[in-house]
Amino acid sequence: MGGSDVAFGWRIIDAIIALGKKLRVERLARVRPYLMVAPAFLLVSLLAVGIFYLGWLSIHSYDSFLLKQGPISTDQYRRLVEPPSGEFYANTLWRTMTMSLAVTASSMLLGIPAAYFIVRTSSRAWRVTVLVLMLVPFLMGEIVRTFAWFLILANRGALGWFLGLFGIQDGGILGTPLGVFVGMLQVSVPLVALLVMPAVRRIDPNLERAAATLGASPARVWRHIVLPLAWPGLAAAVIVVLLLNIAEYDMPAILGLGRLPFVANVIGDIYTLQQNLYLGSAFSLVLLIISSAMIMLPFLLIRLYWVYFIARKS
Amino acid sequence: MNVEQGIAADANTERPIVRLSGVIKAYGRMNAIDNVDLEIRPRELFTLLGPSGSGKSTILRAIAGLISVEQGQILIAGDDVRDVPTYQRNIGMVFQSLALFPHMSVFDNIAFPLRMRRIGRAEIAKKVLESLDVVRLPNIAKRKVHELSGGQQQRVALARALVYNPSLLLLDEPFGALDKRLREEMQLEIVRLHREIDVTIINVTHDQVEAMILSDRIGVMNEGRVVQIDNGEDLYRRPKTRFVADFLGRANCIDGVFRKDADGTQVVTPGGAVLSADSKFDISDGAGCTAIVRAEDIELYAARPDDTTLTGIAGKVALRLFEGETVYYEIAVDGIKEPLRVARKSGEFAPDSEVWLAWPRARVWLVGE
Repeated sequence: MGGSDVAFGWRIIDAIIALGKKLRVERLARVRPYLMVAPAFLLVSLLAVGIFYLGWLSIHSYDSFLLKQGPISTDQYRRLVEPPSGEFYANTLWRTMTMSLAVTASSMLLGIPAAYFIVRTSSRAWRVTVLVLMLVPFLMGEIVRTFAWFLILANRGALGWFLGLFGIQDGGILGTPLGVFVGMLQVSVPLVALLVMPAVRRIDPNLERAAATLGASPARVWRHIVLPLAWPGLAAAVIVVLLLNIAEYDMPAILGLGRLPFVANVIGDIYTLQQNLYLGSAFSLVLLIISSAMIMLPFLLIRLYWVYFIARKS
Repeated sequence: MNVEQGIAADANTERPIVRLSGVIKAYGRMNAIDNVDLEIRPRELFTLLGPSGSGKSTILRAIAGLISVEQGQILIAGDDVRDVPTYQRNIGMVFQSLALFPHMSVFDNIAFPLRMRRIGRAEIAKKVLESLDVVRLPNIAKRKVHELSGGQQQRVALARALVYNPSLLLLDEPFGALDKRLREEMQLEIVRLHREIDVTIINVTHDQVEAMILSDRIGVMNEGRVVQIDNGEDLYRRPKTRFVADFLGRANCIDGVFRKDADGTQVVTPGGAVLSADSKFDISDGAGCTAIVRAEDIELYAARPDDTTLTGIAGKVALRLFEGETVYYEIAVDGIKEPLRVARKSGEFAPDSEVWLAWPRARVWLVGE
């Protein structure tokens, strides 16, 4: 037995060497770029696995009394749309989407000029002041900031007191859509400004001067020069801010006093209060699909517009 | 090449198309332009010439309305433009960076000023193609700006600034970044356009050759002031200040004291060297002045020549450089601090050889202090 064992051991080593030669170890260098993206890839694939798991859960029925998973069914999705609770979920979804769109649009309106000002002003003092004013509240942590707004917007808070000076009683907007809107806007505006700034910085200011000498009023310089050239930054800002707003949790929970839940709040309640992973998963997926569609639709439309109008014309 | 000089002289009697009076623009405590008075005549090609930072571009921007001025008045075609924004001034301007719009085709770039003026589609197409013909670039309307060569981009920028027939065209060193051959080509293009189109051009450059070639008149700038306005030849031969003489070409500026007596008109340097000059200069006896002798006006001899129209001084060759067309010498002269600069066609003198520098007395120009 001993003799043949030695021969067997050698044969394994020979096989490994032969395999090594065939694989050519130096070729591993080519793998390096793949190794570098591996952590990100792992993370993303974990997320993908999670999403598949959500999908798997969402297509099962669930007995909330026995806490038992049932067979494959469309139960969860039907509960999201059918009475008695379907209207509540639909309202929540509608509220989330309209508020997010409104906040995103408003923050673009406020953030783009701010970014432009920060980039173009010749005064260093002004640039630093505006940047700090925008960034400090932005960086101070979500919960602290939200409660700061809580203190401002409450009936007996700063806003209520200020309006009281003019004889308006109970002027606080805590628990109203406006209160949530203001809170979300304050996070979104600096984000838009930060995302748009690099795009504006890349625009040669001489292009704007040239447009002016060629007869373009300031408004038309914006319309024809600044906005088209800042387009990539604007698109990035819309995507990021819209996604963040759709997934907003603490503003509706705290500034909305829970009266105006967003989808994230409702999903949280389904998970924690109802402890129904199956319904929660279904609602999560619905939110994911709708927000993805909202992001991709404009790009699809622009592409179609290009293919059918611009390309055909030339 | 100054074929327009005759026309510009006729235009003298017309009212100026641009007039600056007492214009001051300050950046911080510095005056970028300092009390500038300037009159540009209709149809002329006027160049503002000066070293970088002398304020020439600032004047152009003030005329275009891209910057506001602290003091003074700018009139365009007789109207005070203080409250007229840039986009209503109807001025054509070509920037140093050209400032072509990168997200538009050549056609759209040139059509831009026409669209801003709400001109009809068919008219725009016609005018754009015409202006591309004017700058001799047909068949490129559909291209993207970045697909063009540097020279083509220059022409497109020119076409865009001219397509709406502005009465005033401002050129802010647009040829600065081009290589020598292309620059000369574009300069000739400007001369040609100026001859063909009814337009007044104000050009800004630090290139004195360009200024001389192109301009009917040149305004030399230094430290925010216009120090002299004249045609190129007068600036070169009859500078009013030491700065102008020093800035244009290779001049020897020799500081000394003016002396006028029985021996004639002379400048005596602190070191004791004596240079004689014509008697036409009106400088008081004993006042400080600068004698200017151009490098190419100085002739070199092995010994003092016997010619009474020539004046000169003895020196010793300190440096000899072969430059191709000319041989450049620096010659040390007793009593003069800086070596004299001499440009000759032949170069028979070696370093350290003793030479006699001679020049026509009429070519000595004096500037008082």
